[in-house]
Amino acid sequence: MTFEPELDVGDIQGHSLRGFGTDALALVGLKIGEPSLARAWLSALSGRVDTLAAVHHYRLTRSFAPMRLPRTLLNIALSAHGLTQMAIDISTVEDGMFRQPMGFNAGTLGDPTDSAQLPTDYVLGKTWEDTPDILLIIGGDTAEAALKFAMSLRSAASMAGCSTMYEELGQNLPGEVEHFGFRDGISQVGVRGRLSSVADDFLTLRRLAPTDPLAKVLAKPGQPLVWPGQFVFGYPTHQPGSPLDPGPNSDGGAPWMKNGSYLVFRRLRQDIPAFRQFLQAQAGALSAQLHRPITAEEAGALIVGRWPDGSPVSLAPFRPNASISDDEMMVNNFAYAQGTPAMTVSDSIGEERDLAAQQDDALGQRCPFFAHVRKVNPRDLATDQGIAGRTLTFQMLRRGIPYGQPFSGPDPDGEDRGLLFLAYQTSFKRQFNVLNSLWVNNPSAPEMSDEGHDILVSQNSGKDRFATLRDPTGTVMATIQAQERWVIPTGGGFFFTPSISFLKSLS
Amino acid sequence: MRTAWDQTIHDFIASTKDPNDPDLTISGLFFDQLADTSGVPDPAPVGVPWNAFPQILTNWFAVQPGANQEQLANEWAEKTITTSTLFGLFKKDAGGNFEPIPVTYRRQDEYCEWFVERTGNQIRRMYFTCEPPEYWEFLAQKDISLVLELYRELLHNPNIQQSEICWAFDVYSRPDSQGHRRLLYRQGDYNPRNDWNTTKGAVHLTHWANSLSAEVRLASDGSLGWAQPAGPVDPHRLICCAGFGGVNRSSDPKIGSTVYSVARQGFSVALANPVGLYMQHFQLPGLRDPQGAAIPNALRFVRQSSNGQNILRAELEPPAGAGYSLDQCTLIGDSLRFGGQIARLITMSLFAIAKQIPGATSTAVPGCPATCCPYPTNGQFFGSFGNDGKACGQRSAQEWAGNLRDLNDIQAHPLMPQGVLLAEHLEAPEPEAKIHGRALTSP
Repeated sequence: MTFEPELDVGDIQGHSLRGFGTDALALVGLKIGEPSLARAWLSALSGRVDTLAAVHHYRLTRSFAPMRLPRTLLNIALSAHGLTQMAIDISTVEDGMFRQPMGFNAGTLGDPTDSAQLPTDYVLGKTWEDTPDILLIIGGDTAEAALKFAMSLRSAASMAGCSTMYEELGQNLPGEVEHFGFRDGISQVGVRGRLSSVADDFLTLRRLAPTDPLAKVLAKPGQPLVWPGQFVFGYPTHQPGSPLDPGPNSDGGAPWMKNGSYLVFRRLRQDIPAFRQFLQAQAGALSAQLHRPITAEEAGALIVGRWPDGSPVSLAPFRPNASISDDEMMVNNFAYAQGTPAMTVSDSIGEERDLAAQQDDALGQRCPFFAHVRKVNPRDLATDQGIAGRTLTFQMLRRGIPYGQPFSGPDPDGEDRGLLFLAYQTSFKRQFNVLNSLWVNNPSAPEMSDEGHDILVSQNSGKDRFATLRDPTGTVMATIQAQERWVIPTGGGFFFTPSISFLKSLS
Repeated sequence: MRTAWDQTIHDFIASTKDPNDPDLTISGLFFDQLADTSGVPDPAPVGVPWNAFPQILTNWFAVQPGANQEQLANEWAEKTITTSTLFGLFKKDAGGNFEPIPVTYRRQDEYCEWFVERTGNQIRRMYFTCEPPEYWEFLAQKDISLVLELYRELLHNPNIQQSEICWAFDVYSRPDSQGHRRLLYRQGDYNPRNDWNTTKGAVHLTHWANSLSAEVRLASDGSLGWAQPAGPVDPHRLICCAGFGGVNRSSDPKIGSTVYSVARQGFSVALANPVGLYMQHFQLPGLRDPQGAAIPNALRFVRQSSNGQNILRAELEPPAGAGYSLDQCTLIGDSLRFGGQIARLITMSLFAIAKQIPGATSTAVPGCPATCCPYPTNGQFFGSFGNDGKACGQRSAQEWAGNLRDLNDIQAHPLMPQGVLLAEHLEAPEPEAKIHGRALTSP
């Protein structure tokens, strides 16, 4: 049996490894006024911050106690500027992205910039002045509960000399979709590690039958097991060549980073009418190029890599398939390079069942190379960055949630809505930046030169983007051209989510 | 000159069809695009991308604590290697005895090499090139004055002398089985690994495996009918079986498996004209001057195709009169200290075409001629060996030496594989001028 490390569940904040899973999530951005007061306040607040143990317990028990009062959860992240304000030495911190406001990296991220390379669309995070020093991440069973707790925290922060410079409420939309109408948050890697000294007290539930050989590498179909050092400092990292063996511990460059994680926050505005209009136009354009009728829904599925209900086009190439999308064992049961073998899984009540093998799609005949889900998670594919085993090391733990009211259309309503993209990792450079800059915004990676941009979310510095549908020899059958953007990054920041003990030590 | 270069490319491709080469399996599905008489129209070329930074160093340093890995790999990527054995070059001493010639090369083995022009800690300029040595040797044979002129222009140094880029003596090969040596270069011939192309600059590729002939051979080998499981291709498993390139690289497994994936469907494969290896994409907007301002014009593409897509040479330097050096700049928030930081943001590419040619058939290769083993103390680093059935644990230091030739000067670190295994064969003669298909760049 692979020995998995015991996680310090009382010291790691819970949003990173477990995710709150609450229906509402409020973000509160604070600027530090008087550092000593801020330190004292954060230290005092550390006792209220929800640990990995607390969040795990919340997620296990919430469905069994529907009548209880709405609960709230709290985690805290700090920017490099905030840490420096509080006299924390960040000079040895390894990751340069962390040491800069997001706006400073806008060009690298592919976001449109002005002549000074500053972002044109940011409402937050352009400079240190408009980047939170402290980011409060507040989960709530209801929006009201989250907002009420946020208000009390703002009030306390104010007494500690901190001013509120940003506040936003994220809420799950019905059906757990994002604003374009696609089911979101379906695919996550499974983090290795145990919650206690008990041998099989795993953080990530194992759903493959223990006798299945794949049980060593998969938590469930399509959910590969990854060592926790990819997401929290101080734990074994994932080794591409020997995924069963723990790699060297992740190390951010400073001892105080142990049990902490990097958090990237991107505020992504979504223009629903623009996206729908684009899909309508592409339906016609693709029909003409491919000589078969393509609907707007199919054009969207090709661009996303999934149908709105979550069915992956790799498994359901022609239409959504509820028997796949409704089955948590099937909705991610695909891989591009090798397909997936037959396996035995345990369902939620512990009954075993067999899943059939699924075909590969190495040549991108069902899920195009440029599809969003393929670009940001090439699964078992070797890429321009090396062997297939390395591909997993770029993954992050995504905890995003929509903000704004659902679009009721069809006409543009001028409302601001989108996604609060939140993702945990231990290297911005080797995780977020690889996915976002080297793949999403690079038309010639990870698989094929000129495969195209990730049409859904790429920015290409505001310039036109393209994507190519190819036959098995790689010959272009159809090209998608996009001038408009429907996902507009409007700011964010690079943060560090420290350990509870670090917060406590600030007194 | 263009016609003569075309002929050189034809010759490279023809060499993959040489029935007298005992080390060669001729592929029935690899063809010369410009010599094709099938009448089947050529489809548009397809590009195969890989990252320019040497994956071998990433793998080698993978056992280091996370914060050290990238730093060490960047640092070592820039240190050249000098060997008196690998290339097998000799000169006569005053007494008429043959003595080995030390040859220097870069360990940057992903078909992209760079040189950082430093004065102390100050970085004035960086050069990136993916031009094959064969082209420059060809050019030198035709017009050494032009080569000298280009050296002076590309390295911004009008003082480079012809004598500095040419051999000062006749150069001989190792003795063959009869004890005979071939004259490889005459005194005054172009020396592709001269100081201005190794320790003082970078004009073209120098690594022993970075050559156009190697690219051609790799594409040919990739199109063979390797014994692989039915279904999709695992690049790592394929290269371990076929041994047609470096298993620790990003490039070779990707190129070989892409070609094989298409060929196994019955398509014939050719490298697209113009045959070459190119830098295709630079992701460098994160470069900032000491004041934090963007430096949009710091990167210049010095040699490229007329449509600007295929880049052969790039230079990075501060704008004229900027008053600062590159080491004072930052790249994605980190101080710019190494060329490797840039190389990690370069996407390389080669281009191929695939089409069905009537009558063309795949050449089956029975079994696997090669096999892979993880390094005893580093599971991320692999060695490639002849498939002799030996268990990985039984591989000797001598067998490992060939796989470690670009690493064996890296000093032992407390967590690194110890030098004991390496030191044993540091100066052992290289028995083969070819390492699993990817040939040494030597005449």
